[in-house]
Amino acid sequence: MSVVSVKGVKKTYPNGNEAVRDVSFEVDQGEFLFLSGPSGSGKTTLIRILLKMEEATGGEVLVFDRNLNALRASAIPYLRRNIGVIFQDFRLLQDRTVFENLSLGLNILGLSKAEVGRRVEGVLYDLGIDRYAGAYPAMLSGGEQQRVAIGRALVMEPALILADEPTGNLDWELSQEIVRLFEELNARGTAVLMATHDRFLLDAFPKRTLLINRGILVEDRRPARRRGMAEDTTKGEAR
Amino acid sequence: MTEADHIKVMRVVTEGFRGLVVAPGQSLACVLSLAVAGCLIVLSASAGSLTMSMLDRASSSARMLVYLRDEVDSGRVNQVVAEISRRPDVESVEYMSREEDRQENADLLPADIVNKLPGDAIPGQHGLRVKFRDLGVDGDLAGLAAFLRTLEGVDIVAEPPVGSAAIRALASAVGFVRVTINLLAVVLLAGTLFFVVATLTRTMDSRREEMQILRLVGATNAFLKAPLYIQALLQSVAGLSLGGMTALLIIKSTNAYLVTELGVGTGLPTHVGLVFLVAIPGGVMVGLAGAVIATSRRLH
Repeated sequence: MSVVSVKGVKKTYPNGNEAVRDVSFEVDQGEFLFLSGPSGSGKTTLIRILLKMEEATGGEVLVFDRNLNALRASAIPYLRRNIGVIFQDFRLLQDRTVFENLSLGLNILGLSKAEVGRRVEGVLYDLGIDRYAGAYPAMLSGGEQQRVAIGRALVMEPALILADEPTGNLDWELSQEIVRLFEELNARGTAVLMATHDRFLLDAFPKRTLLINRGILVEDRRPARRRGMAEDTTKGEAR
Repeated sequence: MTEADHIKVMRVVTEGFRGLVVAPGQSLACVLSLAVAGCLIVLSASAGSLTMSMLDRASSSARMLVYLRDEVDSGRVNQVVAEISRRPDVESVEYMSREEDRQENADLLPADIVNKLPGDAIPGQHGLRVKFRDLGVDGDLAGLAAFLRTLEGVDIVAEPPVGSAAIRALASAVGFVRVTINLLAVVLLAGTLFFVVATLTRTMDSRREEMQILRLVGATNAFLKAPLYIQALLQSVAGLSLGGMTALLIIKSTNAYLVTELGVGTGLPTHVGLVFLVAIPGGVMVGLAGAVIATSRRLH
């Protein structure tokens, strides 16, 4: 069963710039895949389309079997509650503590203080940053801040995580740490779609990779299932 | 209300209060300008109310004197009284004997002069005291006087001692002042609406990143707007309440001065109900209007 189904999606801006051109792919439940390509290739636009932050100008986008083109504006928040989103620049509120940053989404759900505390503390513990609960983001390193951002997504217990260059501001060691963290989440059944242009990460973590260039999906590369097997690569016709 | 709803409401109220300190200077300016507007509205109503009651009093004490010729007998007096009483602008008609008229004239002169004069030196003529109902803008004193002059047996018609023109001028001046003060209050309220909108816009700008993140984690428009509505309501109600209470204090001090220092019998009326109306329903209306304008431009 797929959590994301993208069919022939296009995005053309009013100035004529074609950010995404006829892209098609599916993300299955519990799958982990990379969305790769150079800067400006359309990765972020695709993620924004999946979050309904932007409208596709053509094609069909289904997220959790809901057609985003037909989704009413009032239904968008409820869709987003099932999607964890992580950005390169963390997007943490600097005037709120780590605990408060993680609580933001839970407050929307109207959970009790005790339940919010239980869930936030659980996630902080899982991410190994429980000692920073009362700290402000500026007091943390880049890797720790990204963990907080991941925690903010995880605390909502999403079925899908969309990460847009989450390791872009981190060094190699921390980048690997973050991807391992995503792997742990993925092992628990959460689908992960991570945009990155870091070739070393792609090599270090062999997973299905959608390669996008100038808005066109040029390759859907699936890793070999067993050591020694050739990679299952679909080029050109990966739509 | 479920526990989840209760938690959401508490969160919204907390965030509303938090919004007040995002731009404290602007919030304070907003509250103070609303206070000035509220104060002016209450003072205007109070002053208007006082002038209306003074006009009413002037109206009830003012009268026309209709002097009758000496030869008019009691039968004719009764007819004239009946004819005048039929007019809707006349409240009462009372017969005045020569002695009563003489006494009234004597009362107008200093006592020492009256005492030196012989008894028949002060004139007296029988006639009628005509009291009329309304001396306000709609009152037609000239019409009434003209009518009285047409009656058979009427010698002289003396218009009110203060003069109808003066009363009319006073009424129109009062009307002008009331309209001006009310217009000023409306302009001030519109200005304060601008302050409410500007303060909320500033809050939204300051919290733009937070709102973007909240949207990404599934916040509805209502969830984002509600704290702004609460903030606007708090500012407006606080500002207009402060203004209303300030107006009450001004009225109280003015009345104390008028009564104790100047010995004036009547002070400005205190309308506690009006203060409540301006502060609560007025504050709610201004706050809601400001919040609707501000959020409809930014959050949709």
